[in-house]
Amino acid sequence: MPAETLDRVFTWINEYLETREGETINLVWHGGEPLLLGASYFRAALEIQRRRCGLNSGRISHSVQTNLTLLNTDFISIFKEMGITTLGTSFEPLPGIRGMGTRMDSKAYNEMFFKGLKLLRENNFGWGFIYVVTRRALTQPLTLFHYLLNLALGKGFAFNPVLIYGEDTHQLRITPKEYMEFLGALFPAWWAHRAWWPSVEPFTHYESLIVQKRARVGCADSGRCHTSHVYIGPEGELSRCGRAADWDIVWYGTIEDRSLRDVLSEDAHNKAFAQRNQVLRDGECRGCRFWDMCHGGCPLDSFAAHGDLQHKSEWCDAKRLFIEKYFEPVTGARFEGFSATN
Amino acid sequence: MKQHILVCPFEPPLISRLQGQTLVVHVEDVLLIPRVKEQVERHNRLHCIQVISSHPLARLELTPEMKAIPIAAYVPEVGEGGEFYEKLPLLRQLGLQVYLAAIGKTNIRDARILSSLGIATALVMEGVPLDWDAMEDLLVYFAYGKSRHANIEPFNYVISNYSRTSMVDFSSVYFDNPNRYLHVEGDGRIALSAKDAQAGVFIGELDSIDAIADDPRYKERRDKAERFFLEGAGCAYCGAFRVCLGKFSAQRDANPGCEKLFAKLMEISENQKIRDGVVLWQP
Repeated sequence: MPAETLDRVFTWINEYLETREGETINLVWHGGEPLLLGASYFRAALEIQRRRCGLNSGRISHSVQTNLTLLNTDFISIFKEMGITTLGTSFEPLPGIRGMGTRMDSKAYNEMFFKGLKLLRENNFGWGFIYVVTRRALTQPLTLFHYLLNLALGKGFAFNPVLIYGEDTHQLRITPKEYMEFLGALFPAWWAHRAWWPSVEPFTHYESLIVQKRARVGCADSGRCHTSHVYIGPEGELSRCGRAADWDIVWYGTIEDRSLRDVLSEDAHNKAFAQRNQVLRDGECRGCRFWDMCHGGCPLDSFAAHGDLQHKSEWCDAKRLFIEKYFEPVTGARFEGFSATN
Repeated sequence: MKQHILVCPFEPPLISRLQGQTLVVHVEDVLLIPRVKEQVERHNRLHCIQVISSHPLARLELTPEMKAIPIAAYVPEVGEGGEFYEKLPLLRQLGLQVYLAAIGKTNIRDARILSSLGIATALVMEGVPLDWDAMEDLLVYFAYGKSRHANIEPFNYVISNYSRTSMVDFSSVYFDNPNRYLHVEGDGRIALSAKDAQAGVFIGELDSIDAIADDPRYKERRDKAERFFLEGAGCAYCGAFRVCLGKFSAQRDANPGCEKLFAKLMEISENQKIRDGVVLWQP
């Protein structure tokens, strides 16, 4: 994103914050690989933020999702200034899935990852990682789980299924059922050791929802992501979120065309999102006891499969099956919705 | 290098150079123990005296004068029963931890006997072909035995130091964890372990001891468990890696069993409270 666009973005954000007392903004720097921008870019961004947002700067926080391979002390320094104390990352121990160059040199890649990780630890940064479950992980769930637990120690990590929009050239795609069974192979062990093992998503999340009965869900399951998330592209183009932009399926114009308040409002552009809840409650999700924690899942899954937002995610059944087949029997808890317990 | 404990031979000029440090002093002659204590405590702190002897425990010339001196006695075996039981009352009064190589069933059995008699024991596991089943039996005895008994290392160390947020390196039991111990030769050269010192591998001198923590070789050794994460298969995939750190990777294929033992140790660590009992000193 050129400096002029960055300048405009922070002006745009400040306009929003000026009219929304008490609200905060979290800027997630995501890619690709955001560290390719260089530490000086982030330094410039922070200066622009301070110049354009003034006192509202205190209501803006930053997060970074990075592969750690380019991390150095310059980044550590500027991230500290930006108030960042934890970095999000991802990791893949299995060879040939992620690596450098056309030969996918995983060893070289992972060596750089560990170098970055060491730097984080030496500078007392927190970190958490995502593990993307692909077809190659399905044959060895428990040994892979042990590896990730050993890597994480007290830090948390999250499992996400690989999401491929379009052709699956590397044969990595998994079905929702396969993902559910993968999680099911791990959950009993995690539950038995959860006092000692780190937080593992989605297990910790389900524990919070179903056992502790805390009504807090992520964007994809909230039914309200259109009021809380915005993607800003390198030219100031606007989409629903990073995934929507990656898949090139939802666009809202640019920061020149629309204010942030407009983008997050329940106007015509978001009407399809807003209507989705009612359509699903009356239709595909009617009577589902997991509605409160799911809301039909990520709307983009509906778009990918059907070309519109009015269907539940294909991952919904996997979620439900995991909870019914593994989570509830193992824990003895049962989800009855939040309205019954509020 | 105040945070490290220095392992060194009993050479008074060296010990004088190490003023203010905490020391493990190694000797072969057990009769030197009182002299070592006196010498070290003039200007240093004594962590323990490491006696490396070729004599069985029953034949070590320990004396009542050595009470309240922390002693790590490396012996090949316990020795003849009669001699041992004659010495037993004295042994129980000393601050003694007996180190036995975990070779074959005899020493493992004797470790249990020593523990049951109130004598702390450590089994030296590295570099020996291990009987994993016998070790597991010993672990179960240590962790769940109802009658009072003394510590058995490295089990006690792992259980006591087990943590949610860090790995446990029981090399400390053998004074071989560079995070905690550095080995100093008589001429002031510094090695990261006893094995390195024997092999002539040194990374610095006493005069530059404060810079050792910045030495890449030190960092590499300190972080050596990390290399397992870069291997395609192996110890980092083991559920018990965090308490073993791949110490038995070389024999894992030929003599599997480490995973079962250390998984059991992890399970016990998670469930067991720290044992009551006399803790003479901790490695």
